[in-house]
Amino acid sequence: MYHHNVKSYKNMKTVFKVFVYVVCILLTILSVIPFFIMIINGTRSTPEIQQSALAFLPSNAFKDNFQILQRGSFDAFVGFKNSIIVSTGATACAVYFSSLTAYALSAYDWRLRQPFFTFILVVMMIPAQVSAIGFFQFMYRVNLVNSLLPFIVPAIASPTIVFFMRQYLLSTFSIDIVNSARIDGARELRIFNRIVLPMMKPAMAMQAIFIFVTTWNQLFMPLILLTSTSKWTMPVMVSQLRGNIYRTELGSIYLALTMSVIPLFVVYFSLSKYIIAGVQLGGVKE
Amino acid sequence: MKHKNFSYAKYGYIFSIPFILAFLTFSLYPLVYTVSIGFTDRAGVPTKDAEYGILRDAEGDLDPFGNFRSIANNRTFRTSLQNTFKIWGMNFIPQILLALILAVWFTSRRVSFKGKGLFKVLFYMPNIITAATIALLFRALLLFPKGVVNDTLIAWGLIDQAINFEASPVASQIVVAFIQFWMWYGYTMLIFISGILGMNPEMFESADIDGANSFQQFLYITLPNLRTIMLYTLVTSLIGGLNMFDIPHLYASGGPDNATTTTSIFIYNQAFLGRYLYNTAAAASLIVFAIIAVLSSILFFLMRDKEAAKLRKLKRQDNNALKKSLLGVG
Repeated sequence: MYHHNVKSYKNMKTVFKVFVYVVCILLTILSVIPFFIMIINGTRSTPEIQQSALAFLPSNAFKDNFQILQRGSFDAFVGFKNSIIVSTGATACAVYFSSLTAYALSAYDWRLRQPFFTFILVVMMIPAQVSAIGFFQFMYRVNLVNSLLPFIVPAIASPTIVFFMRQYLLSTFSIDIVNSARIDGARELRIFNRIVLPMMKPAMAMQAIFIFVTTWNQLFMPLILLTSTSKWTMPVMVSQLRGNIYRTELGSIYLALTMSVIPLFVVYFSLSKYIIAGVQLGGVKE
Repeated sequence: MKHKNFSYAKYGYIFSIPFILAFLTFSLYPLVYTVSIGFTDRAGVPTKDAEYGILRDAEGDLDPFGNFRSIANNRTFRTSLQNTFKIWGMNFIPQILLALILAVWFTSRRVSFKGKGLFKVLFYMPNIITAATIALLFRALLLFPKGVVNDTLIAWGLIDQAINFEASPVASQIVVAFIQFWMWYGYTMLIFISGILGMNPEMFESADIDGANSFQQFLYITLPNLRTIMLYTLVTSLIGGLNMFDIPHLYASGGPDNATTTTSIFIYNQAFLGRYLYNTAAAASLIVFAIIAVLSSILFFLMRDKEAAKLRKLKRQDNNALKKSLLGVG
């Protein structure tokens, strides 16, 4: 009897395992196939795609698709350049100043410290989109329409990053190191730059990936503020693919979409371990 | 010692200055500006020297709440609110269910799965890809009459005739909801996994000893302990939903028949297309902001640091006791 139970339990376990794997493999296909088709169809000519949309082998129309793409306003290199400028700038601002603010919140004992932290928790939830009208009018008045600065400088105030940096500092930071540097006569900002910042490197790297990707993917504000083609970021370039010039050029559309995400694929698959760990870290917040 | 701490305290303020300045300039000011625009007659192609004032009604009397009235009576705005919640609901319910199931499987202590790490990486992947690209990719895949999806469904014999996904309001809503689901279930799964891994293993061990089976443990331990995280996911997802723009804008440009016009698309169309109605767009933004503020404050009060609050309360009691005893002595 006992033996029989163990055996049936083992069988059930195997059935369960097989079931889980089947579900996971189906979901994997669901995740991967759209991108796979995108990449393959980018190398196929529009007539080929129209004849059979689904193919598993690349064709030889890559060059033609690329040339057709050049006729319209989609310019992957300009988009790439602008997106790199915006994402790098915003990431640098957000990471450095959020670390500084987090340091102010955890190393010093000042009267408004707790209220300031509560304030950060409150504004963390407010999405920038609700003040888009005011932001646009403000940028219009100060002549920053068609400039990349409005996407970089505001990153100095990134409440969410401050929150995570503070958590990190609270769990790893000890004031003794700072005190010994103080005896050596180092000034406070110098202590922060030379001693505290290097200690925060792991957390900074993790946050940097997320800010970079989030900034890279932004569409709403760039769509509103950037009207000149030479300033368009990648997502704005992509949004132009809906336009008439490309309507019938399926091969070129697929190729353009592929070019727009290749940098993200490179970043994601080379750093996926850290990215997954980073998302999971965000979950244990409370 | 006390004196030494005091002299360093000023650096707390100094180091917070960049954050505060940037926040005041680029977050608070635009928000206040948006609020003020909501009460004015600011509309039309923007020009530098145009004069704007408080909104006036047809008789020329001041009518500061006119924009809010016209938004509240605007049928498209109401539709956009309904669409937003509808599309959000269609994506969130299956998303949270699948994420929960996967999280429980991947954290199972009885059965271990090989390749868990790879599955996590692949399920989360769509989340980091540009939404604009994904919207246009799905548009191409769902093309009518010959697209990947239509071809496949016909080849498998699931349908006889190609479906015109783009022309159907219901199909468009479902597709937008599906894309959101597809992009976000991996993220939610990861959040749940870390939530489950963060639970005290002793709870599960003692349940084992008591003879509770996996399902009972899920029902009575995992689920109740995941409540806060689920609430957090719910509210952040709802806020994200109210800002949903990229997918519905590029997949279906808010159509057909306004079926995928979300609140964000409505605001965008009001302000940046056609008549440049910045004032009514600002009024609509404020209504959305009010909804978000209510949702966030609910979350904030439910999730506030309970331990810290308890500690502060204890401290206060301590102080009171100290005062009392001092008074007693005095």
